[in-house]
Order: sequence, then C-alpha cells, then structure tokens
Amino acid sequence: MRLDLSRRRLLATAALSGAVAGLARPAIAQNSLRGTGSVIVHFGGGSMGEAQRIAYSEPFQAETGIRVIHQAGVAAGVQRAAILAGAPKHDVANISGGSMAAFEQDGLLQPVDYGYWAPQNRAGYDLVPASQFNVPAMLYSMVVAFDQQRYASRAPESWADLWNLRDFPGRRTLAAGTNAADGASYEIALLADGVKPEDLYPIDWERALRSLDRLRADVVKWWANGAESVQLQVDRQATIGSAWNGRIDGANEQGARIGKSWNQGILQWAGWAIPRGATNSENAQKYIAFMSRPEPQARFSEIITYGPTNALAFNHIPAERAALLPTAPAVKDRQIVQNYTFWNTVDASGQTGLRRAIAEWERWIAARR
Amino acid sequence: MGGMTGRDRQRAALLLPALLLLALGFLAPLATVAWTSLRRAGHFSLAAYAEILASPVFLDILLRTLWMAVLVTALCAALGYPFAYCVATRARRHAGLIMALVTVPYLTSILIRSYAWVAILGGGGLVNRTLIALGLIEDPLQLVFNSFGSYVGMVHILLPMMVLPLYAAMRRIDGALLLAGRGLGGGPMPVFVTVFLPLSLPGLAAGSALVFLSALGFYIAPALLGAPGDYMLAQAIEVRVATLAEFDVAAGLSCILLVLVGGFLMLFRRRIVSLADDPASTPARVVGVAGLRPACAASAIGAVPGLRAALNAMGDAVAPLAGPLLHLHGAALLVFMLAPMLVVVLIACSSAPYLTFPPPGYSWRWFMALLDDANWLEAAWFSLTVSTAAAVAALAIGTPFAFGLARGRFGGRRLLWLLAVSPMILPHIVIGLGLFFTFVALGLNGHPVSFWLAYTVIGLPYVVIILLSALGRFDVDLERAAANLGAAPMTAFRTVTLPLLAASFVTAFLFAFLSGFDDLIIGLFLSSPRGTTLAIRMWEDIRLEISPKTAVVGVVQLGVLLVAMTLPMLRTMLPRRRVRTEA
Repeated sequence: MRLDLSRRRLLATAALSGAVAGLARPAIAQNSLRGTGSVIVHFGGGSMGEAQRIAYSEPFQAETGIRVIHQAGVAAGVQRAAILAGAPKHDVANISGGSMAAFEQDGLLQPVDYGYWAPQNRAGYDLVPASQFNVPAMLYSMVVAFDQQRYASRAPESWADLWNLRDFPGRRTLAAGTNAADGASYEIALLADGVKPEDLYPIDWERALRSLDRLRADVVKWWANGAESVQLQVDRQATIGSAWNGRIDGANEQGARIGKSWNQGILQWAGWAIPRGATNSENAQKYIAFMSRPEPQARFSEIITYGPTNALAFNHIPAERAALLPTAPAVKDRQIVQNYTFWNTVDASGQTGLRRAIAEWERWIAARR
Repeated sequence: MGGMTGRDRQRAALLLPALLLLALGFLAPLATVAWTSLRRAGHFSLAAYAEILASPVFLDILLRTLWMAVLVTALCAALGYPFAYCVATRARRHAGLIMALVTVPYLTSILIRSYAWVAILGGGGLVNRTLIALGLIEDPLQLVFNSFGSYVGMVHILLPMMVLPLYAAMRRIDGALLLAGRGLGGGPMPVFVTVFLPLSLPGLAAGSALVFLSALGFYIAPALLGAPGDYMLAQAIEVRVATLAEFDVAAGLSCILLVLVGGFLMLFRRRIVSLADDPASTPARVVGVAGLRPACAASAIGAVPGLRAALNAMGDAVAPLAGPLLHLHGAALLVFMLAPMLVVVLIACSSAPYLTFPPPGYSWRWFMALLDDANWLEAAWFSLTVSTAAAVAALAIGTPFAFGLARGRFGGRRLLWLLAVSPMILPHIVIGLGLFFTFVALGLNGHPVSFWLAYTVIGLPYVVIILLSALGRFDVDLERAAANLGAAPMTAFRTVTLPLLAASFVTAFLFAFLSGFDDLIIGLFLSSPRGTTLAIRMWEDIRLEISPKTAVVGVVQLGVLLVAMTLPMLRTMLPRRRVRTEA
C-alpha cells in the first residue's frame, strides 16, 4: 500500500510539474487524494465542529473514500504529552498559533507534504504562510465587544475606549491572564495605554499590569474561556470587553445584539499539523491538502465567521459575507497580527513569553487581593 | 509483621486486590510523575523544585489553597451537621428522598451549574431582583465574581460529601442509648453532647476528610464564580500542564502537595479514621464508646451539678426552638442545593436558540436536539457503563481493604491507608498525565479498560474513607454474637454487618460512581475513537458557546434519579415474597 501511495504521489507531482495546462492542475491534484482506511481528525465541537463537518470532513470523505473519524480536541499540553508517549491523539491536530512554535522546535511534528497541493493554493496563504510543519487553519480576531443599546449614541472604537470610563460607563470583562497569548489581555492593556502597534513587542510586562491596575475595579469578571466572554455580555453582566469575533457573530446570529469594532483587533490563528507518530499520516496529508482548497474554505467561512487562510477563498465568498470576516480586505489592515515568535522566545529571565505571562499574572492577583 | 497471627494474615490478604490496583493504577503513574519532576532537558535535575521553592507566589498559592479548603470544610460541617441531624432524627421517613435530592448538584456539568449560580446571584439575578422589588436594597449586591461566589460554588457541590457520611453515622446510633441517657437523668442537651455527638464523630471525620481533600483539587468553580485572587493550586498546576506543557514544575508541585497533605493526614489520622488497636478504637473501647461512655458521662454530669444545670438550662431554653429551627435550616439548605437545578430545568425547556435566563419561552427543542444526537447518546452510554463498572470494582476491592485495615493488626496500616486515599490528593490533571504514560506503556492506550481502571482508582478513596468510618466504631460484638450462634463469617457479614452498613455502602458506591461519571480531565487524556465520555462531549460543545443542550443532560439525569427513587417505593407497595428473619 505504501508503495502504491508513493507511486501515486510521484505521478501527481510529475503531473503538476510537467507541461500540463494550468487549468487541469487542480483536477489532477484532486484526483491524487483518493485513498483507503481512515484518518483521526481534531474536532472542535459546537458550531465550529458543525462547520468543519460540513465544509471539510463530509466532502473529503465523499471524494477520497477515506473515512474521517472526529476526535475531541485537547489542550496543547495534553497533545504534547501524547506525542511524547508515542500515542498522539489525532492524525490531524489543531494547535493554536501560540503553541505551534514550541511543537516545531521540539521536533514533535511531521513535515507537511506539499506534493498533494495545487501550488497556487500554497501561495494563497498570504497573511500567515503555510510552513514546513504546519498549515494555518483559520484566522480570528480578539476585538472590542460591547452592548449596542448601551452605547447607541457613540460606539467604542478602540481599546482605549474600553479604559474610558467617563464616556463609556459600565462593567468590563477581559481575558484572565491564565489565557496567556490566546487571551491577548497584555497586548490590549498596552494598546489602551497608548503603545503603538509596531512597538508592542517585546511586551513591557510592568507597563501592561499598571494599565490593568487602572481598569481592575471596573472589571466584573476576568473571563476564563471564550464561552464566558460572550455570555457575560448576553446576560448584561458586562457591557464592554474583549471577545473573539466568531463568538460575537455566533451569539448575534441567534438573536443577541453585541457590537464589535475591528480597530486594533488582535489577529490570531490556529494551525493544522501532523504529530510525530501519527498512525495515518498519509491520509492526514491528504486531509490537510483538501482543506487548503479555496472552495471548502469558503464554505467553512460561510458557516462560521472565521477567516479563510487561503486568500483565494474570497473568490468564492459572497461580498456581504466576506465583509464579516476578520481577513476581509477592508478590515484586515486595521488589526494587528499577534506575534507568536515573541510569545515563544526566551527572554533575559530565561522564560518564554507564555510562561512569563502566567507568572506575572499569578504575582499580580496575589499582590492585589 | 513477624508476629502476625493466622487471622491477621487473612486480614492482610483482604488488602491484596486493592493493592494490586493501586500498584498499577496509582503507584506506577505516581512514579512517572515523580520521575518527571526530577528531569529537565533529558537529565536528572532539581531545577523544578528549586524554582518552586524560590518563588513566593507558589507558597502564597499553596497557603491560600489550604486555607480555602479548610474554610470550605468548616462551612460544610457547620451547615451539614444540623441538616443530617434533622433528617436522621426528625425526618427519617423521607430520608431516602432527601438524601437523593442532596446529590442533585452532581447532575449537571460544572459550566452550566456555574451559569445557574450567576443567574441567581448576578447583578440582575434572582436574588438581587427580589431584594430590589421588596425595597430592601437600592443597588444590586455583589454576590458573585468575588470570594462569596467561590464559596457558594464550592460548598454547593461539596456539601453532599459531608451530609451523606454524617447521615450514615447518625443512622447507626442506637435510639436505646439516647433513652438510656435520658433515663440516667440527662436532659436533651446533655444527652446530645455526651451521647449523640461522640457517636456521630466518625461520620463528621469522614465527611471532613472527603470535603477537604476534594476542595484541594478544586479550581473550576472558583475560576468561574470567584474573584481573580481565588486562584487555587490545582489551577496553577493545570495551566502548567495544559497551556505551558511544563510538566516538571507541575509534577514537582503535585509531589510537594502530596507530601504536605499526606503528612498532615498522618498527623491527624486518628481523628479521621480509627483502626484496630488505636487507643480510641480497641474492641473494648468500641463497646465503651457505644455503651458505657454515655452512661459514665451522664453520671459524670450528674456529679457536677453546675455543669448539669447549665446544660439542662441551655437545653430547656433551646428545646422549644430547636425543632422549628432545625426544620427551617433543613428547608433553607435544600432550597440552596436545588435552586440552581431549578434554573437548569428552566433553561433546558427554553425556546431560545442560545443560553439566556429567564427564557423568553418554552419548548422541547433542546430535548429533541439531544435525542437526535447519536454521538451524545453513545457517549452517555459509555460514561454510564464505565463509571458503574468502576464503582462496582471500587466497592468490591475497597470493602475488603477497609475491613482488613479496620480489623487487622499488622504493621504499615497507616501508610496503606494513606496510599488508598492519595488518589484524592493529586490533582486530576497530574493523575491523568501519569496514567496516560502508564497505559501507553501497557498497550492499553485508548482502550475502554483504561477508563475503567482510572475511574476505579479515583473511586477507591471514597469507598475506603466512608467504609472505614463506618467500621471504625462498629460494634464488633454483634458479629461475635452471630459467630457464637454458629454463623459462618460470611453469613455473619451478610446478615449482620451488611444491613447495618447499608447506608454507608450506598454512599460509597454513589461517590465512587460520580467521581468517574463527573470526570473530564482524566478522560481527555484517555480519550480515543473507542472511548469518549459524556463529559468530553459536553465540554466540546460548551467551551466556545454554552448551549442549553447541556442543561438537558442534567434534566435527563434528574429524571433518571427520580425514577430510580420511586422504584423502591413501588416495591414496598407490592406484597413481600420473602420475609427475612433477622435477630
């Protein structure tokens, strides 16, 4: 079977690099994904899981004959432990951008086989490139979220407005520091304090915490997870705070009325990767190649407002839907791509940004109890 | 162990099944954890410990965690004791139903339960709205997202662990002893203080141990309902495993916690459990406690007129109020336990597409959504079977273990006891990490058997603590009487011991079952296409958006509990086929 697979791959690569008409390329690349057996894929659950099932897994299964097994996603640390034990949880793992670099550095991932890809698709990954070991899965943004009714006369437009209690009174909510990079509260605190986006990194921990000090009395709750960030606003426990754009849209599609501003949004991403020791790695390569195509990515973004990572997908997304996505051309530049390199680099104190963020948070809450 | 008699050897053999399980399911993972804590970058290193000990933050978090656990234990004891007393002495006919209702908090996932508390205590919540409507306050009180919220959430879920062992201990108190105390001239108050209270202490000790040890491992309730400063050690460990993958520091913190709490337990062990040949629990003393001491105490009170008069006067003053007060307290506590469930029921019947309270309308849509979801039903069945199998196994090996410890006299029993309760001390994320590596090495990765083993290990401490407290001051003379009358040991066990301990067995089984059924963290380590629990499915669904579907699961579980409750009632209405003769 192995022989057969590699022969097929060879043919596909040959076909792609050969003198074949450009139009025929995707067709041949797509044919090459057929296979047998199964692939165990990270599953996000909820509406994200629904989008994944409809946009990716079902059409992939229909086209390739490979059975997709959805398996609950796990925290980065659990995934790492599983790889170290030689029994990774998934063939196709989903790892947040903040943790990805550490997986790469420690040799826990298999290289992505771009032989299965149509070359124009790889080029389509403009904002965050598809690299040797991982492929960005989706882009999302941590934005200012607020009660539309409460601030009907003037809507908040920046993180500084979240700190502006005079013009925007009401209770606040921000991610607890234990969320580290994913919660983006350190970046937010600095932007609110007037730091320019280009000067954000390396994070000035003291300045960020001093900025949070000023807000502290008005934060009703430091949210622990994404569900809470939006639920606090739905219940009017908080009237302004930070939340992921997809969570806000999800609540609004079901009847909530939470406003958002793209200004100074912190653009984040999660990526697909194949763990070392994955049992169905050939099928995993095919699943990832399938997800790189613009059509299923467009379908995904039509179900849930997370941005496609292959910009070619915008050719297949209606304009009014595209306007809602964080990577839409009109709003893309108003946001700041989170610097995951900083978050994974060891500083003078010998700690990565992630570790420092949690240690600083623990110190901060203990000192100001 | 050299001078062990044949009987003691037999009793020591009773420990074997549990020890085998612990060797595989706890010692091996613990060794992995300890090993992990001593390695950095592939070499032996004490760096993790040096880091922990050098950091003032860890000491602060550790002390705060111990303090919160102590306070929660004290709160549960103060609230739970009068409640159990009221049920055991004044509401015995409804005791089964009341005790079942007390376990209701366990029926819903922590996230939806916390949401219910926010709906009750929040700024626009039920309590504040009621108080404002009554004109008692003008601005809403801050009742949640502060330490008050933390303690409400923790006491709510831990109270059953206090109440059930207390109730089991109080049920075993022989009413004749209380009458004897009265006959010897004790008023209600002296009899309570000198007879009832000492006899109920084993239940209080067991309940306190369960609450304290569980509270040590808490973090989700304080994280969702508390102030940012209510940051417990288990959260510090969790974030180091899950987010930072800093396994050595997490393992080091766990080992320090285990040594500290283990040492603490050994220090107070005699107050927590009584084993044979402890001064407090030799058979003679057991009889003494059960029969003679009250009489002595009562006569001692008689001999000190001042004390007697004071206690009697206090008793007389309190007596007319005691009944109503106890009932009021009991009712209030039941409301406290059940109020979030009421919110959950309303949410489950909500017509809204998202979570909101109060619901704008009512419908069955979320029940339909659940029934339509084959994945959830499959996961529910999986959780039910592995948790039941694990609870059965924990009871099957925990019962002989408790008997062996309670009755045998051989060296090392204190350490063996500590070993059996230790799975409660280590945070689940660390047990999960250790178990996972062990199971992968054994070729059990992803196999349903791995869940069964893991849940048996975490269920065992409940069985051992609850049964030891029941056996510690158990009247051995009853078993001896049965033996003298010619009963074989097993027969004596079946006809005398078992019925007397029935309430404790039920309690032990229940907590062993719930510890597995409720688990999410270990399950995530063990999860595979062949094994996904209901807790994992719910977590998948609600970490990004809390859906009313999760509330439906709680309501379905409540329904199952109520049906299970009514079945025995139906049985009592049927004519009995066999009347068992008991001495």
